[in-house]
Amino acid sequence: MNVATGSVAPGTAPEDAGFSTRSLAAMLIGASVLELVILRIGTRTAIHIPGIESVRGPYRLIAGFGRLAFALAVVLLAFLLMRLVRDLHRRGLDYLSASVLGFTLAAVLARTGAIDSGVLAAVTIAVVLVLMFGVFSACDRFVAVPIGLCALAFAVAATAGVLYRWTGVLSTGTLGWLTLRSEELAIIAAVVSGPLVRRGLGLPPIPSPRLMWTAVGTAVVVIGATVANPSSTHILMLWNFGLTGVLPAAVYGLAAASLVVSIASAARHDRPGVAAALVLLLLGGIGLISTYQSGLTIAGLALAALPGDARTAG
Amino acid sequence: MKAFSKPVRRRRLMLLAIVVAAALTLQIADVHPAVAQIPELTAHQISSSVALDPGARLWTRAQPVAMPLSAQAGVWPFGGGSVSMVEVRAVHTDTELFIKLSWDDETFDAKPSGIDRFVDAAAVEFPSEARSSVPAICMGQADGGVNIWHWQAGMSEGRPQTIEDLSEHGYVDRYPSTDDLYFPAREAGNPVATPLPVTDLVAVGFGTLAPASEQNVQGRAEWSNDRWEVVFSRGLSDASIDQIDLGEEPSVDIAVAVWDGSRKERDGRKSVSQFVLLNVSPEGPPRQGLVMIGVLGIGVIIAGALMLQQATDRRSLPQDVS
Repeated sequence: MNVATGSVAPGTAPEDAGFSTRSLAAMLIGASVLELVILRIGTRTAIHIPGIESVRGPYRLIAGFGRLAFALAVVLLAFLLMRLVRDLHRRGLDYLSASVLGFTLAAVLARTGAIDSGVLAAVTIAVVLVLMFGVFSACDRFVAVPIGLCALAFAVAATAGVLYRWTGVLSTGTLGWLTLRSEELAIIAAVVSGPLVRRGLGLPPIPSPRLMWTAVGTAVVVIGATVANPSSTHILMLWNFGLTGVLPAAVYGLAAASLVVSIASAARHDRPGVAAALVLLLLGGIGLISTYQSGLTIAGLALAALPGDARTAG
Repeated sequence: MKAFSKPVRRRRLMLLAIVVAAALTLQIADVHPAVAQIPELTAHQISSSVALDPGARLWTRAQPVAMPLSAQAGVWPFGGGSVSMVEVRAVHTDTELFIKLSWDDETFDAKPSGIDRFVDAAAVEFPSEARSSVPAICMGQADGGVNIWHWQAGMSEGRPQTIEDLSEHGYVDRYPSTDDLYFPAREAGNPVATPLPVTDLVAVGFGTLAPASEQNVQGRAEWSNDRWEVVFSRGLSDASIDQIDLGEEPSVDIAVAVWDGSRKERDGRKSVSQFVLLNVSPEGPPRQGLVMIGVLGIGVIIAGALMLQQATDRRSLPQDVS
């Protein structure tokens, strides 16, 4: 049994400062998953069902609950980003701390209209790139590769969109090509995450039967959704995760299964920061969607860039 | 299991209460603290009209939005999806809105010269009225209609008048007159037989697609270098009861659809997008490409310098073993 005390190791957050970084990340993930399921998937699908107006009461109740989950997630994200700014600063990683602070300020300024979406996009991409280097500095290479590839996929997709929209140097075809490459990067990151994270944790490559069946079940659900209703699934993938859905369904199934293995392995073996980072990267998606989702990605990368993970991240 | 002291528990409960209170405040006040970063289509104001010219230089100053398309899968006949992306730009003058669609298409299909030949086509869709919720993208719904501008290739010069117009090998030894009386659909005012480059349509659900009460949308298209460029235009406030009033709404949802005739796409077999937001801005087109690249470049350079400094500091200090 761990009992919180006032004494902490040098460079770590005091235990009595409220919620730990890890707890904040866990609460954010909970609220964000609820928001994803209810709002970004549930209501986006339900709104197109003919006759949904006939169940207006329950629909509004559920949608209201989803909006509350979203509001909770946004508030928790703000708290977590500020905590990460402090934690990174206390570990002497001022360039990472300043990056996270820079994104947060840019998001607030963009909301007030003080800066426009182009500057916000540029700041977001720069911060993601900086944090990607921070991840490679902080994590062992087996863990850093999938997380870094996710960050790179985000940056490629976002940069392509920015160059296309604001500079005119990219044609529509090139934009599509780059978008597809970023999706392939993200899928590769997910597929390799399972074996690499287990290798980085010193675990045998084959997970336990229970985890293996969970991963297989996840793959079956993802493949089933992609094959059974490709149009709706593709649109939801695009809107929620920035994925076009053009790759074979089995690839997405394999990626999902591998992510389940990597997240569960990290969470069970004293690397909750890595597990939280992977979940936040998944929730954030690829490319620029909203400051909320970019914030999830940045929080995930900053968590992964915190040295020491479970011992020091709260 | 962790056990915490009473002050810690109290502090945590207080923080939790603050988080929940802040979230409830956001929800009750209907405040959205996040900012969308997905591309929104912005129609900036221009002083001179582009006059339906797809090649007008002014179009290069309008910010493009690449809208991904997928096959229509909501209602039979399913299919399409041969066009994966369409580029959309928009500008407006004091009185008119111009929307330009462009997409790659290797074949020029402008004559339905046979029962299995179909023309290239494109459409833009708006909600018929601005609401807090968008209507179903597939032809709208009973309490939320849609307004569709439908362009078909070969119609810029008007619908073919004779069999010979449809097919150079066509021949007919009847219908000697070209008078409308001998073309019942045209005589009856059937919009399908009316020579308009763009048909203005309305719908309130599947199977309800019908011409709008007023046909006030103009259009012009060009096909070159295996690419279609189509310009739609309508008066900003030139709306009848079943059409969106673009002069009243600074932001409105817009979706697009494209048909590739050579791939036998027609009717429900088409490539469709989802709704994106079209903002009718009173400002002129931005000139900020270089500024943005500058911000991005400076950010990366500063980060690189800081990282180098960090690496240098680490090498010069003893390792933290905490």
